[in-house]
Amino acid sequence: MSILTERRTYVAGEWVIGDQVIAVENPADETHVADVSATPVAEVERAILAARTAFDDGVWAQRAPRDRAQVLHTLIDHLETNHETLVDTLVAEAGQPAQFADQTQCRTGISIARQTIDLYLSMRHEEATPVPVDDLTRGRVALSILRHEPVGVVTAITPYNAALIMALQKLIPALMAGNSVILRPSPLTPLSSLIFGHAADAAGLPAGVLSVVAEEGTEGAQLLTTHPAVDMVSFTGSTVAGRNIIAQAAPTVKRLSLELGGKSAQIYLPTPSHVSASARWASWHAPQDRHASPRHACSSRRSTKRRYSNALPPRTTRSKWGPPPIRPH
Amino acid sequence: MGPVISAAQRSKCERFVQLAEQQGAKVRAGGKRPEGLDRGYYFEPTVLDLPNNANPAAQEEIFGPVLGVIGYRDVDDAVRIANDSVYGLSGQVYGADTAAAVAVARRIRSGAVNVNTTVFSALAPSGGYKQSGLGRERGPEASANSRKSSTCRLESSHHDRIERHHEPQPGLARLGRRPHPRTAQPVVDRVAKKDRDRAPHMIKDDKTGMDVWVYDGKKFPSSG
Repeated sequence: MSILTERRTYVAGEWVIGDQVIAVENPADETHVADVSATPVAEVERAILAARTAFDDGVWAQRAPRDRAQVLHTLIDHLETNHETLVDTLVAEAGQPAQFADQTQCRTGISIARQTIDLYLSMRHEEATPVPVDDLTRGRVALSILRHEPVGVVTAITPYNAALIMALQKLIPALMAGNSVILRPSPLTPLSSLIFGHAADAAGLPAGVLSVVAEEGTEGAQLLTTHPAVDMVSFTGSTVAGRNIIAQAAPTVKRLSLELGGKSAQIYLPTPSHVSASARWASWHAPQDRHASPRHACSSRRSTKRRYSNALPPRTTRSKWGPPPIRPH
Repeated sequence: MGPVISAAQRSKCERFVQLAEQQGAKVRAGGKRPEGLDRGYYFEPTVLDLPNNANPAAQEEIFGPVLGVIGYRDVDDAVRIANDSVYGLSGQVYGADTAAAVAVARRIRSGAVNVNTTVFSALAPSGGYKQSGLGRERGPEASANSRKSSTCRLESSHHDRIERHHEPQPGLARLGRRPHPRTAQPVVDRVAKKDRDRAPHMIKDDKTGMDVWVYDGKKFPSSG
């Protein structure tokens, strides 16, 4: 088992050490995993300003989409090269099953990231829009072009349950579109996200285009949701935190992308196809997944109810729990 | 199954089991910390038999291995229960009859509904209805949300200039000759002027002083 050795955070192309540390604990056995150096608030602001400068100077946004795609593929290559370290780090910081870290977070995350790049390249960057015939005939307007431009400075605040895949699905579309991004992982799982700093270095991403900050509290996060130089906040977390972010982003009218709480229902029709699927899904990663559905509605018809109630408890009582076994890579 | 993330999160699971029981729920499995595991934040996989959808364990997000089961009368009732929530992030429908399951899925108000399976794809967006969020992750929506659009309108004089600039000269190109500036210019101008005359345009009528359209050599009154 070898976890990521980086303990500093990544601000505007430099590795930064602060005065305070975030003690990362493994929830599986309460052992101390690592002390990650917290990013001082002044450094968080420097990350924002560097992101702004990088965006306004066009060092990333003005490059051809194909060039950006190539750089981002190299960035993702770095994650793939460090696959085993990444899985071990995710298991250690979140106490999650190795299979979840390996398959869902790393493999699916990376595949989604690469496909997102292709998807972006298939999209139009400029397109003609119809000129109303009145404007056309009056000779006022001859041509109307819709140009798609990056939003600017995007801050990405990710949760503890799936730090890597959430970061990928926020960073890649944002960077691909030409934005500058500041990633702020959950204080509970800050370690795995530091790999993005090394990946940015390896890919030769211009300084300031991607920064990774970490902190114990929320002072830095509040700067990321309120600073006038920030154009957009992308957040995954609770609805309570989401409401606060809406309020914080309101004075400067930031664009928001919020993936918040859920209480998703699973409906079992009177002739269910495979009852056990839900129990298995429900026990995946100790349901710290909003899409794992904690409300089950089953038919009150006697036969189905009996089958259902027979199916669930044994399935759950058969589940084993304990520290995630380390899977041989 | 592994642990939940923290002691606080485990307490939340315990609190919700307690709250659910106070309001008539029955614990069918789990409901407590597993024995023999002193270190780590574990909570047994828990199944609650809930009397109704108003139960706290049915309404609030617990974010742990606590699962509530609610009986329904008929499919309409099941859909009502599923939609009776401030959230709308996801959902699942299981049924042997796929068409019937899809018909139910279409009535669920959430950002995703999975029928007899789950899906996680770069092309399929995910996000919330109601208080489950704004915007979408993944899919074309996520890429589109990383951009803003700006409409650029060009007035006709600019258009003319662009047209003249890009005007192809197929005859000369076929011969592989570079157009001589003196001969090339009139060709392009003639085309542009012809097009300009043919295109509808507005002039001031000498007699009435009103704006009129000129199109195909005829005059038409302007609507304003």
